[in-house]
Amino acid sequence: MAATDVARLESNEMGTLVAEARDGDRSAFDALVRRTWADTYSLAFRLTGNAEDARDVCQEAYLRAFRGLRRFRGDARFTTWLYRITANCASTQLGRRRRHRHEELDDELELNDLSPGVDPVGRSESASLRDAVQKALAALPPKLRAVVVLRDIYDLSHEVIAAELGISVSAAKVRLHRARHRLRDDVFLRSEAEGRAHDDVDRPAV
Amino acid sequence: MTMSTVLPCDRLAELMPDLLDDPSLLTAADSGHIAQCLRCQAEMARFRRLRRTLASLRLQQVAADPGLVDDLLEGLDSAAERRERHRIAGRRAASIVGLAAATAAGVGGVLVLATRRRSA
Repeated sequence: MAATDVARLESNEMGTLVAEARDGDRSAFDALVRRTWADTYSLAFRLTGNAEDARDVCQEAYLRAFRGLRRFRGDARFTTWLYRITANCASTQLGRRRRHRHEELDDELELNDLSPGVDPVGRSESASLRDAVQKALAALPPKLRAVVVLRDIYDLSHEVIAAELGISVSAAKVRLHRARHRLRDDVFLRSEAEGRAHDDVDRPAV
Repeated sequence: MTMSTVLPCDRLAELMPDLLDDPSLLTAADSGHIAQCLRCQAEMARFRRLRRTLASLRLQQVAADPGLVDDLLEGLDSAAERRERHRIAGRRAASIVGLAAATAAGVGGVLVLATRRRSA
């Protein structure tokens, strides 16, 4: 079966589960949690930067989704709706923690590659580039990181990001601009400068 | 007096992050410049690679404690129980208020009747 067929089948199954859960079927909602929790946790971790906060954000996100499922109109995908709730919960959590925590990612990122076989573009990017991007992301201030994670990894629109983070669309765009510039500096310019310095050291003195 | 002019490369470098979302920001003159400028081409390639790499992270899940899903479901159970308790308590309170209102109305009725009889 082609990857697109699998995706369509999964999407149909999710749609059925969402409809059943909205009609009050608790087991259908549990099934939705089982299907989406790892993804939700990944987003929560990328936004908050540590396992403890990511767990709390996940818990809160599913509680809000459970309470608000009747209001979910189905005009967006369920996962997108869940990302929005997760982003909103993470924003609240970060606001609560800001005074007490160091701003960079504290916990080590351990990653599971989901479907390497169906992502030729992703596969073609070198592992070292991904590592460099992960590190640069982790070093971003949370406000910049949230916007670039939601836009460039999870493909949410500027309007949705602004709404969930409680900022204006223009502020979201400014943060994204700054975040991408900093990532470009960290990922490419620094490594290129280091590469040049390395070449200079290796070059024999004339 | 010296005139400060912003070179196209510097102006375009500042524009590059936004071009990823909105390529229409480029004018025909900008496109013409990029087609001939290796520096701008390299800069654009960096941003595109960055965007592609970020998008590829979507397929990588952060490893989580496998027990988390059970905790999440337990949390939902507790929330559902609390909601049910609230619902029952709300109903109970509503019936008590209803009963009290009915009693008050009954007592009021009896008093009105007694007053009418006495005055008759």
